[in-house]
Formats: sequence, structure tokens, C-alpha cells
Amino acid sequence: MTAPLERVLRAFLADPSARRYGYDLMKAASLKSGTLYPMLGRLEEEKLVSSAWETPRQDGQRPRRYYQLTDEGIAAARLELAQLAATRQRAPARTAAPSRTARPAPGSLG
Amino acid sequence: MRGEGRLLRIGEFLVSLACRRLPRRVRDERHQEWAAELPVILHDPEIRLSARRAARMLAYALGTVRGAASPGRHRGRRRITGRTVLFGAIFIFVPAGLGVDVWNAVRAPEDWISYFCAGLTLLGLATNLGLYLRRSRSGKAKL
Repeated sequence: MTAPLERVLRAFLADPSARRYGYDLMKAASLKSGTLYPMLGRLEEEKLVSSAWETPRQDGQRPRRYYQLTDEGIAAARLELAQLAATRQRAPARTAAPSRTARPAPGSLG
Repeated sequence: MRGEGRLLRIGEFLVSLACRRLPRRVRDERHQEWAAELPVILHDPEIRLSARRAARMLAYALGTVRGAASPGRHRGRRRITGRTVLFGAIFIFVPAGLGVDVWNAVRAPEDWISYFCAGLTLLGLATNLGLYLRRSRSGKAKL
């Protein structure tokens, strides 16, 4: 998982039921529009994110498009982030251990 | 904000530029989406300085141009692959060979080998053209 994707998923998971506009996600994930929108497009193609248009406003402003994680997306995002956290927890232990002990035991999957 | 209309027009121009690089089916939708964010950024209450808001709006619009140009499925242009080069080479060199055969036949009409070579070249060209068209129609051509 890339760092920008991780930030977007974290921004979504901060409140999974909230409507997220592109600009809000940019601010929350500290990403540029050129990075965020292609990513949202891919997530939408994979049915992890759904999008919809807000109802036209009275003040004449154009309706904005908002994004939400789908149920499948919420589950996938939580799983991915949990796996990432577990990997990060394991990583320092691996580097701290001497190289001989890091070698897999014979017969194990390694 | 002073000059807001002009700034928005510049932003919309950049967004339009970005959308031109997208496939037709998503172009209008993306344009609506991105253009709707521009005034929101210009009036973002979290940014106090109007110059910063303007800069962020322009950065947003420029970012859409960069995002639309990045390689991937959203790009309107096709990738150049080995197959493209192969087909290109066939369509350049085969007609050239045909020209040489015809020229030889004109110079020496009694020499049957020129007619044979020209026929063979025509057959090859027709086969390749047929293959190319069939791939293009079935959407499998990855040019």
C-alpha cells in the first residue's frame, strides 16, 4: 500500500459515514489533486468507494461530488491498515534481531 | 475577493485543459466536479490570506492537469507497445517492397518473379491489414 493511499483510507475511516468532498479529502490526507483523483477513480472502479452528487444548492453554487467508502471498502480499508500496522510492528523487531536468529528454522515456511 | 472572477476563469481553463486529456465518457462529469471545487477553495474559511486561497485554487487546478496526464487507465491516449512498432514497420516496409516489385515488373515485364513477389507482398499486406482490423474491432488491439 502506498503512503498516499494509506492517508486517504485513514481520512475516510476517521468517519466512515461522512460525505467526503475531493477538496476535503485533499486537506485531510495532505495530497494534491493530481494524486487524489486518479486514486479515487481506481477505488471507485474497484467498488471500494462510491460517489454521488449533492442536491443543487439554493445559492446558485454548483453541486459538488462527494465520496464515501462502501461497506466492502470499509472492511477492506480496516483490514489493510491493520495488516500494515502489524507489519510495522514486526519490522523493528526483525531489524533489531541478530541475522542468525532471523534465519528460518528448517522445515518452517520461513 | 478582488479579481475573483478572473481567477475562477483561469482555474476553469486549467480544469478544461485537464478534462481534454480524459476519455470522453468521464470528461463532462470530471469537469463539473472539479469546477465546483474551485469557488469552494477560493472561499475556504480555514485559509485566512486571500492570496494563499488563490494560490491553492490554482494549485488544485494545475494538479488536475497533472493527474489527467499521468499514465494509466484514465489517460485518453494509447500506449506505444512492441505490437505498435511491428504493425508500423509492416505498413511502411511492405508497401515499399510492393513498389520495388512493381517497378521491377515495369522494367522487365517478361520476368515472372516480379509478379510473383508483388502478389506475395499483396497477400501479406492484406493478411496483416485483416488481422489489425479484427483486433481493433474486438478491442484487443493494445496500441
